[in-house]
Amino acid sequence: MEPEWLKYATGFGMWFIGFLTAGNALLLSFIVYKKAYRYGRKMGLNEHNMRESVKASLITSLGPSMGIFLGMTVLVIAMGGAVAFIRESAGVGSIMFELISSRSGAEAAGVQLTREGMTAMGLSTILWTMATGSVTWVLVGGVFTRWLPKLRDLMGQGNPKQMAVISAAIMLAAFGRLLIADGIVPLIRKGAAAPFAAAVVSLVVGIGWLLWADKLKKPEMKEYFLLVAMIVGMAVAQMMR
Amino acid sequence: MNEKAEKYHGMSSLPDEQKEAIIKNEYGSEIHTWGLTLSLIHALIIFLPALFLFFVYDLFPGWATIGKAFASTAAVVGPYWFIEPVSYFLVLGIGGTYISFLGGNISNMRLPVSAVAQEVAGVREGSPEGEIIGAIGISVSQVILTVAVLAGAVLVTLIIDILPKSVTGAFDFLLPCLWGAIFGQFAIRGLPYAIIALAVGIPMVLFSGIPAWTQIPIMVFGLAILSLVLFKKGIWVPK
Repeated sequence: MEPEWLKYATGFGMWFIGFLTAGNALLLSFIVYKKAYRYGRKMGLNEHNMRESVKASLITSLGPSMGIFLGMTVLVIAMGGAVAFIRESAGVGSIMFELISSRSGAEAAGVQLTREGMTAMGLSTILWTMATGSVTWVLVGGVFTRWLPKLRDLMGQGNPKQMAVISAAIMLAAFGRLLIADGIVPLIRKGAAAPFAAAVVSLVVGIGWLLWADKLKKPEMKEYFLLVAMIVGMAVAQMMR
Repeated sequence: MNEKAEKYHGMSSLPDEQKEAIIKNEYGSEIHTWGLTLSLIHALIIFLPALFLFFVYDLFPGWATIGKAFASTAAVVGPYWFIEPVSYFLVLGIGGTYISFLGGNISNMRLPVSAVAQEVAGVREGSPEGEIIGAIGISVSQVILTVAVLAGAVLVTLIIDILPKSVTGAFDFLLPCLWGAIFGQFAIRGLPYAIIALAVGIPMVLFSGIPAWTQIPIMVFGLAILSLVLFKKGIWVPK
């Protein structure tokens, strides 16, 4: 039987919100497109070149869209199709962010981020977490874009190498804690080896794939690193279950 | 024609001041108005799923629970709210920035699309022509993204119930796999910090008794401060 939370998450209301969310992003895109084309002509840009850029953008968008299509499977399974549509069509888009906020919401609500473990209140907490965690991006992008050129000049005085080291340390702290909670704690407290194997296999495969891409000098391979690492990790863990 | 002129064959012959005036006073001004308006509307739309559950099904977890979940999320992604718009502005331009921070998928889609569109049109990045072509490219990418995401949501929903349990069961391990892969990605860039994160994190999570929702902020700020201090002292500085 379909659980109660899934009915709420995949009902007409949620799909309607999905179309509203996607529609707003499409409306802005349409307006920007029309104005860019109009002022491009006024600026003396070649009509043929503008049409060629549309074609190139269509083709270039297909590859990442396939990655998003496959990546969002995770979100569809965990939260239902309508929520995945809302978040991926015009939310943050990064599957990593969506899972971090879902995981934080689930933890705060005391539920599991699985179909069986989810509850209606857990779903509500996750939706609040996704919204509060991503609204600042929209506001910074929307309200402050007119001042960004000045801010960029100001921040440019900083040391990019230092920023890179601090960013890596922050990510390692955050993902280290998540890895410990979901991969190492189940092994130590319950003797569950499968989640631990999932984490370790994905870690090793991920590193291997990235280093291989560097060695082959094919940076485009890196787009698929997360997908490959996760599929191999999940398959190994499922076999060990 | 020399190599440079050939590469930038799409540049307009109008004087630079005239092109910049069009971008600043006409195009930019109109885009700022629409971008701000629709971004503010979007900031409200983002809350609709949660508000829908509240008003229709009377589901509200309470501000304390939302606050805890927000603190955990903000500790990880908070810096990116400010770093990303500033860092990507040069490539995305005015129109591209508004769409990108409303529609997401910046590094994996908007940046490559904008770069390819400008390359094909033969315009220089950061120029007025680059602004226009980048905006056209990013607008087009939003249409493709919407179609792909809608197709993904509908198709996966349709096939999920016919998938065998052995396949759907594997998704129980999705989170440890995701954390492992991303941890590995950053471990390549800062192995000493990866070792410290595990050495400090394992006893903290298992034995400290510190509330779970505070553990991420504690580790994030602790390692950020440590990395800053060590960098200033010239320790573990990448080549």
